[in-house]
Amino acid sequence: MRETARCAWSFVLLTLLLFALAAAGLAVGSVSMAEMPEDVAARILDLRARRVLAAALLGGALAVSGFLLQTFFANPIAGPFVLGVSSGAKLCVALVMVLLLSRGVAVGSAGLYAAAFAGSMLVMLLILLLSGRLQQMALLVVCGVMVGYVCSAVTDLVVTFADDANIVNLRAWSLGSFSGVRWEDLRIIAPVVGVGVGWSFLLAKPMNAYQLGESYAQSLGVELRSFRVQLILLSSVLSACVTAFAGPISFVGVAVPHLMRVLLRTAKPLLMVPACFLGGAVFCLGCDLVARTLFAPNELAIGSVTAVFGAPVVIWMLLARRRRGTL
Amino acid sequence: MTQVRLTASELSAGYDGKAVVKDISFTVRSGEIATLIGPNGAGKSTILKAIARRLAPLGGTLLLNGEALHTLSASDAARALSVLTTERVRADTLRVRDVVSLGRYPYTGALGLLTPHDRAVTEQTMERLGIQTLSERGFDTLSDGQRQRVLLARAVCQEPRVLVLDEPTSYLDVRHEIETLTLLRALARERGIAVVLSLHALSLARRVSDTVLAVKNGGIDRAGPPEEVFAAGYVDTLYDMPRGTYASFFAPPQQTRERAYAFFQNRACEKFPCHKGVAEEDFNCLFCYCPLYALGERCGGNFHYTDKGYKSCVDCSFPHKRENYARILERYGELAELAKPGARIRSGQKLLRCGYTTGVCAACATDAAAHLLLCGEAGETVRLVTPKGTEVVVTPAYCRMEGDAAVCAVRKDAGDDPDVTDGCLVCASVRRTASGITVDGGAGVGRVTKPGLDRSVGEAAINSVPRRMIAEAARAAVQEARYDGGLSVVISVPGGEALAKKTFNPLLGIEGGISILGTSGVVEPMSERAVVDTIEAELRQKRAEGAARVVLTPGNYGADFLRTHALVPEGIPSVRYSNFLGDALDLAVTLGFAEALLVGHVGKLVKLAGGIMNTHSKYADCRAELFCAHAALCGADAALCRHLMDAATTDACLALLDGAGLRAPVLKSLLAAMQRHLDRRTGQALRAGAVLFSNEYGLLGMTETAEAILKDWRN
Repeated sequence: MRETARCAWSFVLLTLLLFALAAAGLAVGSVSMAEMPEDVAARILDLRARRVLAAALLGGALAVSGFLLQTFFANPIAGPFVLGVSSGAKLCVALVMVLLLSRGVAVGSAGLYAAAFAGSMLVMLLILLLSGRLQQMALLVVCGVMVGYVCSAVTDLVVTFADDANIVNLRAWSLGSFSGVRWEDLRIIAPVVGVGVGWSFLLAKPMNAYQLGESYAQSLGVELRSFRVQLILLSSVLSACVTAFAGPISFVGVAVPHLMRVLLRTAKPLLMVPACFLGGAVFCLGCDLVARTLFAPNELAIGSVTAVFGAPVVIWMLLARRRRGTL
Repeated sequence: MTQVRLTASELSAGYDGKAVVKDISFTVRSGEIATLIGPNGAGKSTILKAIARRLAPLGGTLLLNGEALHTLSASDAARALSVLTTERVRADTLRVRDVVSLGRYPYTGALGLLTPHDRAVTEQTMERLGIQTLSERGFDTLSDGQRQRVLLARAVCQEPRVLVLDEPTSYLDVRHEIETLTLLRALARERGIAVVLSLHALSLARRVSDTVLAVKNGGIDRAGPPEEVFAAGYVDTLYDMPRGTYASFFAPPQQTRERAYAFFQNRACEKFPCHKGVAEEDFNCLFCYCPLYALGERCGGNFHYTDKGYKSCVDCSFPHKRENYARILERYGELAELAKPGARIRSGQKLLRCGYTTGVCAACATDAAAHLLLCGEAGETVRLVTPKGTEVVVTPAYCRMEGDAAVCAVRKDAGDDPDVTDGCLVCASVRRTASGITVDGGAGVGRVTKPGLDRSVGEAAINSVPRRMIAEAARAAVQEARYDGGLSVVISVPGGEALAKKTFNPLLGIEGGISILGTSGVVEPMSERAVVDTIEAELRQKRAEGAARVVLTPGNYGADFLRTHALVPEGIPSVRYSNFLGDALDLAVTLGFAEALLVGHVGKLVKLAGGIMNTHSKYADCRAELFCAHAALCGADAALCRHLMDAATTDACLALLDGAGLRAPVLKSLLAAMQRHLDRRTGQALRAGAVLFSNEYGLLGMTETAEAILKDWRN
């Protein structure tokens, strides 16, 4: 069957791209490894490996998180960044870092992650509260963007009043980068992302039913309440993970699922969850590569690069939907 | 096929613990369709949601084959029951096949992978519902009708034993509506599914249901087979409409059909349904009986005038449209109004308002005066039905007592044909007498001085019909007042004597005032009748004076000719007949005249050669044609004929004939034709001949009979 073939080829393509970009990520950089002494080269390789791994895992997590939210809100422009969830996580992380660092307490990976998760969940609950009142999806998105701005503004405020020593850290983080990820962090990222994406994959069947609408899902035997809680928790877990360790990264959660839908020509969650994961990984690896190499040795914020590549995709999608009269 | 039975008993359901529907009880079995009908907000959807397990029952039970529906596990319930809701599905980028195969959900494993059996069921279902051609289409590219069908397929693919559908036809046009419900009916029978649905289309509910559940105010108001529930007038009660609303709108199909009018329903017409393709010269308004044709420019239709001035409607489709009915009905009303006697009279192309005669005025005045005298008061208005059947309502100009007499005056309205009497007052003076009712004329009403009229010499010129009307008006008042004496009525017309001089009265020997006339009671404007009546009065008078011979002339020319040429001996009366030659001849016959001589100008009288009995130019001309035809018979060539046709006057024709030396034979031929027509009209009863003259040529000739008559008269 053509559709099966198309899907198979898509997955092969994504996997190949993933490996190619990962290899490029390891090989390309502001310094040439061949000229380096062996131990320096090893350390650079170590640095680059951490970075590639983080970009792949977190990129994938972000895209899957976006897909979960889109399923939940039955709206293709929903995503952790658009709904302000990422900004909430960012605010929480900033607060925790400033408060604890000023008292001389070092924040561990788990702590950072906990703060980010708390922030995402808080914004998510706010959005859920609003969604009960706002029937129109467009309004909900506008609200999400507003919440995101408020969170960013407060974050800037916090950063302004932070100690000079912290600011350097915070600035780099709040712009977003995969460079700061440590092996210690990866020990948290890998299981969280692994479990989160795996679980999402297992939710593929009810998600499929849920795409028809609540009442149909319910009549098909989906336990709505627990299903919804799972969706929200999973997407928050995944997006918080990204925000905690790489800072806010925009548009991946919206653009990648859309690109995957176009690529696969289906919205079946069973295919979409793995495709989004792979796609997100490829997208972020590519963007990271661009961020590192375009103006080397200067590095661009990963958020800026994803926005440059992601935003046009979102605009294209909106225009396509507008043409079909559905938003 | 396992049998299924869904039973609700005293079921209550609602939101947030508040019951919206209460005490719902019904049973649906395999193969049956139960339809919920009822006004918006009655609770239909709530009942359906309770059955679909969207709402937990707040009271009562809902049993599926004896087992409480709400205690089933989600997947067990999904295998027993499927739904089609009004929720709009936004399954973007899901293909039709994906949507339908979602119906297999309760049967698939953890990841929802389809087994070959599931795939087979999906394909079969799509085939059964006729959507296999859509299977590769994106769901969001479908029309509403197709979507609903796909969603129904999904519900069926779930292989349920109970199918719950909320407004399954709400997005569908009538064709899809019928198709969907027919399909549902078949599925229920084939697969033994118990179907519960809600519908707004009552006519469909009636057709498709085995049981109808009428829901009102949160309860089942009535339940049973459709013929019971839809029994007389119940729908109106259910939807709180005035009784008969539903029936009048829907029930007998004849009532909703468009009303048919002859002008466009004339199926026998070869041009039906419209005038398309009719050649202009063949066009005839009778093709369509278009009632608006006569309205000319104002008909509103699509037409043009031909170069001959005829209105051509060949491209008109105007009267065929329903929105023009009002206009056409209005026009019918106008035509009906016109058809009533007396109200309006057509004169040429004008419609004229009729007035009423002096006789009617006199009768009305009498009515009012008699009432004033006998009852003490006269009404504001006086109503009278004329002998012709027209109702006349007048307001008297005044009503007062003058001594022992009651005097009332009515102002005459001659309608759109003002005559000398228009606007003058007609007064009735009524007095008590011992017995009987007498009617007489007073000041301004003429007296008859010559015999031959309606009244005898010496009597007031009040004709018998108005006299009777006046007497009846008086008699009615007498009866109404239970008065046992008599009344004397005197009719007077202030200024009548002066007016009379402008009428025919002096000629008729009526002196001292006008006549109270009017046999019909209604003045017909531009009335030819009045002219003919005058001719009749004159002829009658001459006959009464003993004359058996009469000269008929069309008008002043003839009278002058007679006088200057002394053609006719003294003592033979002459009467002008204007253009009413036929009428004058007929009257002469019926009044018993023996001989009549027509003396007329060739321009008028030549028409007689063509048998034209009304010589008014509005009816016929043909003078040049007659000259031409007779000249041709006498050997005129084509050039002369052409010149004759172009001649402006009959004198010019005569000059042309003179030039060709044909005047004598042509006149002879014409006179012979005239005599034939005279004889045909009068038969044996009257000897009639014709004399032709012209101002330029003098006496032109006479018919053989005229010659004989004149010879007799001179002797």
